[in-house]
Amino acid sequence: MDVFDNLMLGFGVALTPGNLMYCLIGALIGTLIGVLPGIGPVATVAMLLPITFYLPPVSALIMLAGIYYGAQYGGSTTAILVNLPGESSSVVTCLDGYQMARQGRAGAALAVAALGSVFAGTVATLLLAMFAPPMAEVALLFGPAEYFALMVLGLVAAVVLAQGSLVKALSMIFLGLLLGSVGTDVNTGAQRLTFGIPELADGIGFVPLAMGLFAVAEIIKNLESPEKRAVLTAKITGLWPTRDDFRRAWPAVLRGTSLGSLLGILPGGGALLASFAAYTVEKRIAKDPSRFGKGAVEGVAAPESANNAGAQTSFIPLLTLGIPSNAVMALMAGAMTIHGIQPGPQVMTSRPDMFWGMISSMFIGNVMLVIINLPLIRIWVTLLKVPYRILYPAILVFCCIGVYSLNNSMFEVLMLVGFGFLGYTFLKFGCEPAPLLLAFILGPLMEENLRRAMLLSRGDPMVFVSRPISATLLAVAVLLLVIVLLPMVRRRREEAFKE
Amino acid sequence: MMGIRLRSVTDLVAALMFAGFGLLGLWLIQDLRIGTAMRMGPGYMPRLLCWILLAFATIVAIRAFVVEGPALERWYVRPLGFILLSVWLFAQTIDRLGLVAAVLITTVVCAAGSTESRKVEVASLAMALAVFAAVVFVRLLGLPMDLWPEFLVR
Repeated sequence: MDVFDNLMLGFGVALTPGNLMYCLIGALIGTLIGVLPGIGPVATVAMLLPITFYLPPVSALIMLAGIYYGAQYGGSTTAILVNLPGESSSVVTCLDGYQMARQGRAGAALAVAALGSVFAGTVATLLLAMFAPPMAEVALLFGPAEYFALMVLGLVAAVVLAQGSLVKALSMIFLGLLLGSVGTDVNTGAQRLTFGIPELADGIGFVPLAMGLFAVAEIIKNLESPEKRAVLTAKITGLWPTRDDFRRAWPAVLRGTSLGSLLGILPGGGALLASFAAYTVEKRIAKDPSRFGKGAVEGVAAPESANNAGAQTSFIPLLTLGIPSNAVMALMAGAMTIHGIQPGPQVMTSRPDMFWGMISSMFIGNVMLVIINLPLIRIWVTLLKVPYRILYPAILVFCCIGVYSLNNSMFEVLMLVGFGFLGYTFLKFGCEPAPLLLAFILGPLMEENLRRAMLLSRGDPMVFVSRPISATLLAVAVLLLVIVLLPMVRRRREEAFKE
Repeated sequence: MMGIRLRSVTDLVAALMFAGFGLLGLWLIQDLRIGTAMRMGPGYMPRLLCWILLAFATIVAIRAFVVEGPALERWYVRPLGFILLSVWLFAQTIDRLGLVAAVLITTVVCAAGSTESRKVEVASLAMALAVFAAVVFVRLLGLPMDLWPEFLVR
């Protein structure tokens, strides 16, 4: 009953005209960037972060959350109609979605994706509402050792999920931790790794780093080859899936939802991992796996449900433990900090209006998104015709303005240049930037908790294995690493990423 | 077994990059106090991280001679140069020339990074973006930025 009361409180907040509007704006922007290839939620949320300074905190978070889950909806449209992932979490949707579109069943594919998404989004938000309070209570038992162990697990998970070489992914983690330690040491006030530059005393800015690595480097990469984009527009005839589609899709939606919800909670997880895993599972359990890649409706239903479920449940670690599990969540944490709210288990009790308002807005947002995505699909298709040569200068200009407006500092824009170059270098050297970013975010928190734990244990490192929760978390982390390093699994993993 | 031969240039350069960061870090924090495991000084963590990074760089470098990998990808200088230049110009102009000029310059320069840009299109895009940025960011959202060059306002 408690959850119900809380949700009522939440809807009271989310249903005010202002918050409804921000929810709609978030959903619209999310769909927009989801549809447009070449710009993702990380860059968008980073761009809008400075603006949220001028909004009430609840509205700001409602809008930013809408962008993240809205992007999961929009991504499927591009995947199905253009065979390009509008969003990285829609990569696998291309495989069967585009084939369905070529067979003249684009409408059915879009409908299955949207309906699966709204189902998954609603269920996962319910899970979030039900499990966040008990999780937050567990979190109150966490000491510095447990927090440290949890973050180690998160980083290991990020390595396991990275593409390409494991050693390189691990190196990127440590480089990220090192970048995170730039700035003033909290305990002593000593300047570390700052080159004596006063602007670096507060550390490297998260927004220029994220935008440089993801937005700027991505733009340069996209400009390497001429644009090929063929939109299958003529073929959206009926939006309604056939009875056979429904029969095949609904179990896939259920499986995708459960898998996505579970993987979303994992630190280092979220929408991207969820969709990959869901597709693999569908293919594995199908009676006739050869149908996949040729327009199997399950291949659209499962990953699209999973990425939405994952997007919703990835809020759980942030809201209950104060630990962002991916880059978007880190930006959400940043948005909370801008408004003087420390993310963590205490948010639920100190700011219940904000916590439950945000969760309730997710129900509303998911319903809005179905309307935005199905009846209005033609608007988004028109937008898809905007060529990249017009799109990218706009993205770049907004990135510049976004970074500058954080502190009205030209130094941060210069950092954007540097990290754009670094990001391009990473791409060329086959190093994936996602683990670095997560490590950069977790780094300062990890160091703080490590130092505190060691101080409390009088310098005895055994504290991490003698406390049960921390020992379990670390054991899982080690286990994960060992499993991935086993030659057999390793080959499998490489195959999985190739698909 | 075949003799020692470089099998992955990409991995080798990646290793050199990681090693470079590790060494740079060690050099920058050489004067910081390390402290003990119980009371860590400001230099403890960064130094630890640098050494681990160097260790991993070594493994990546060794792998480059053992595991077959891709050749180094080509660098495309035109998009790289113009995109970075346009952002750099934004940083240089925003304080002195104001938002409108900065947006115009950035748009035009970054458009030069693509082989597909067309002159008329770029000109109209630049103006549209400048108007949009001025109206939305400064007028509507009230971000504290100058719209026009300092010397014109004064």
